[in-house]
Amino acid sequence: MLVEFDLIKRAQNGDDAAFNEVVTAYRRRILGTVARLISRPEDVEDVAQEVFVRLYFSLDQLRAPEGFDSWLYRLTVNAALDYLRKRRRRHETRLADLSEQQVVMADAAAGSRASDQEEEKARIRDFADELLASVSEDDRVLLILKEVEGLSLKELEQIYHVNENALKVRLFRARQRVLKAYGASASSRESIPREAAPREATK
Amino acid sequence: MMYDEKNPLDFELNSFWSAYRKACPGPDPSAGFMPEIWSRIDRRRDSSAPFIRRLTQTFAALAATASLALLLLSISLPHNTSLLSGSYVEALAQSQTTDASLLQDVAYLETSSDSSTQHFEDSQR
Repeated sequence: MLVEFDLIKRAQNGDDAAFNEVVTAYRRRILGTVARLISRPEDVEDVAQEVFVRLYFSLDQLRAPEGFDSWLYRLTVNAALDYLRKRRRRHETRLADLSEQQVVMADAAAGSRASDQEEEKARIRDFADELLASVSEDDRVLLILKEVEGLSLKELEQIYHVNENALKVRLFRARQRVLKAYGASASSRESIPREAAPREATK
Repeated sequence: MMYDEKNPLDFELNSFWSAYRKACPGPDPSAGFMPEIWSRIDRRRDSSAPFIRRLTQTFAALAATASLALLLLSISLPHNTSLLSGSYVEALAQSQTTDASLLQDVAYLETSSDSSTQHFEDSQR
């Protein structure tokens, strides 16, 4: 935990200054998690703010302050899922409105990035989106929490309130689908963006 | 969770997740981050206030209607005023008086039936 129990209790009792301190302590972590969950830099701050607003209005429901981190992760996951669902609906509407030529032009505009480094980052994000499109939005979030955020099964159990075995099955299936998509891309692409040194393979 | 260590794609995918993590760093919060949170909280409070007011008004109207209905019901129903106006002790005393007069009636009946039996027996003789 990034803050003392006492601070959370004060925030629960309506102390606005204590709530400000809690936000200040957690905002970087939440911004990072949201950035990876939604993969859209321009909307990260908006979703993170929504997380803290939901935290403010639901803080009185938190029974044990030691469960605060999982509680906050749960709010983050829900806000990210809401955003992803809304974005999917918006995206579907927008694409339906555009002509084919306009879609090609939009893709070309998105391709012209400011710098090489930014372009590479954007390419990785796009590729991740492509891979994660093979799983549902819920599984996308679960997979990112496990593989990218590095959360343990115990932590995920607390966030999702389901038993470890159910989580393992969901994660295994989601990973198999992503792996299949990754394999298909590997055979069609010359180079897939990845790190030079592979990460620890077992978890 | 165990991955298939023999599968090179598994290794590649793991390293890709790591690259993805680096490609999506958490941005620094802007100067307006905190003020925007508070303005959203205020907006949500304001939007919930009319709903609570409407709820309170509905409850007050329902309570007034129920009171009026009960009042009308109590006026229209016939009731024993002596029982309602008197105290518990008075009601108890009245009830005991009724019981006592009832017992007197029973005693009178028993006595009269005894005397009529006697009268019948005498006439037989």
